[in-house]
Amino acid sequence: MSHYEILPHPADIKVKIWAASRRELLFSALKALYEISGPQLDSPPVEVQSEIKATGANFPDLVVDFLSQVVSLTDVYNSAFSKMEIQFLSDTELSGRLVGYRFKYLDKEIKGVSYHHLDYQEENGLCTITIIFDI
Amino acid sequence: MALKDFISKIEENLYEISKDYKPEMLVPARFYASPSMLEDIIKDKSLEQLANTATLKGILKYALAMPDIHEGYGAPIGSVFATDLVEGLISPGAVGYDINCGVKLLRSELFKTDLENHKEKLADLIFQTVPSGVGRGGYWCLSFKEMDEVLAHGLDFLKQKGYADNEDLNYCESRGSLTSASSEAVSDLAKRRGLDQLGTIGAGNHFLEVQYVSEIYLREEASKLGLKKDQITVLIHSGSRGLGHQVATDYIKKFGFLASQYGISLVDRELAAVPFSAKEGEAYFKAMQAAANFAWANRQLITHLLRECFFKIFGPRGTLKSVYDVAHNIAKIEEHEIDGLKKKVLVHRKGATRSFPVYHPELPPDYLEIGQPVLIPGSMGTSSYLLLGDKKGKEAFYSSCHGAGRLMSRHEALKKLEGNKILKELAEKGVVARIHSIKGLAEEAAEVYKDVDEVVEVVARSGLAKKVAQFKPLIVIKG
Repeated sequence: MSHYEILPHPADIKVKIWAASRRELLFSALKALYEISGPQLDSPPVEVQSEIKATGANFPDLVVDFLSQVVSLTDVYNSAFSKMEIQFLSDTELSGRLVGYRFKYLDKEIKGVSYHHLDYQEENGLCTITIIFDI
Repeated sequence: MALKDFISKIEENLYEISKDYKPEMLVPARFYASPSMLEDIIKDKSLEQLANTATLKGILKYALAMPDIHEGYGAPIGSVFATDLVEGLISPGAVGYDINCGVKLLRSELFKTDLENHKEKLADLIFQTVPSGVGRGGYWCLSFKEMDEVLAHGLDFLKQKGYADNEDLNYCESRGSLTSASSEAVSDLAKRRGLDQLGTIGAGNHFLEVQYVSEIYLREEASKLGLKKDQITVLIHSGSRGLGHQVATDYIKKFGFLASQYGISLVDRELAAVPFSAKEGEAYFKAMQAAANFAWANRQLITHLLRECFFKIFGPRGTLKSVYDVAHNIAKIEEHEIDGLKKKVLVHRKGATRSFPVYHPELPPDYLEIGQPVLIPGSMGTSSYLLLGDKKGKEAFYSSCHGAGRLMSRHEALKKLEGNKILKELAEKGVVARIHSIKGLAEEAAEVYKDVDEVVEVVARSGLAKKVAQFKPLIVIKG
């Protein structure tokens, strides 16, 4: 089942992401970032792992910082991350381990994650965030 | 009342948003546009964002925008403003994520006819030699020590390593090295992102074009720049890659937390700012300068790789010489006239080009009598331009436009345009394209941008810069 939707934006990629909980929303956001980047992986695949730590003044801020960290680590390791083990999570802090694979190239280079038009809603048991990926 | 009710015409192609539009505005906001551009400009949030920049403490005279204005983060793309060095703020969001995204123009001694039988071969060689797209590491993978040298010294370090000559330094904004840069102000993560990215074009709207001089408007000035009709030139459009993005991300996050500490209430989180005179403001300024040095070094290493390609095919006749290199996203301390007095101020340019007039002390000696070259890349398959800074630019903190300016979303472009069709149309125009992503081609097609000819006309008619030469593409290389 789809967990995100791309919305119109003049220059970059605006994405609405949803999940049943805040924790699940982070996994949905990671998946959205991975799928939109469209990595062509090395063959045979080379697994890469990296520690990740993110902070924010509140939960939506934390999501921005988390995705920003993933974008940075994608650049550092030339690897696309699709899985994560969360070791600690609060509304303002996250630590964990990312698991991904080295890529030959990405279909789309996401260079950063913006606070612009950041919108977070919790309604009827659904957590939804709208976020812009700078490309 | 709506925004358009607060807009008045100041003169032909220049409009003003009254500071009554928002109670937080400290100065009015002005923008250059032709009457036919107005409708599109009002459509997105760019003027709203321009009005937001007019709320930044210490802003002087007015917030400004060029005719290629479009919606960005914090400040709009195409914006320019100056802040007081003592009372004013510095904002990473008003410089942009891709610090010193910019353009470098090279000229050869070849002419259009010399390329006729070599276009495909040259395109293939450049595509193989100059990394573009995502995930292709650079020609030179830096050590941390080398990275610190690049950040601190920019082109000076490249020259020391044999990748640049004196002319490359002379014909580059700030000689390709901002001397207050500090690698210590740049995070390890930013450095790690940049280690294998020097000498790479990247993706998105960045590109490399082999062009020819299609029109000369000012013969004497063109001659002083070494440009002749039908001459082969190369335009490089790239920036500070992941490193610059990380510097911006790091400081926007930091400044967001600090704003309240400095009593700054932000109308937009992406306009996070601190006093320029504060230690954090100084740290960002040093880090931004370091990222700018990295970007100049990046375009220079691409130049080195291009020189190898041209030499392989054309021998000594393929020698490429620098015409100029300009930054589009940067903040700099410059002297401008404020209330009739000369004053040092901090000029933020985001998607705008510095355009100093004749006899400005920062010009290279050879260009003193003609003014600073302003390089305006067109969208894919369209014309690019070289202009020269003009005296009336004084009213715009000596600034000019930076490109065509986006009109259509990527989403809409993908729905309406087909990459393969664009490729075919380029071929029909005699343009050879080498690209990594056919989807990316649709997203960056000429139709998604404003008409660069009209943008340049507005700049020229407003007296910000004068048209010297027009260039048309023969080879396009994109990520």
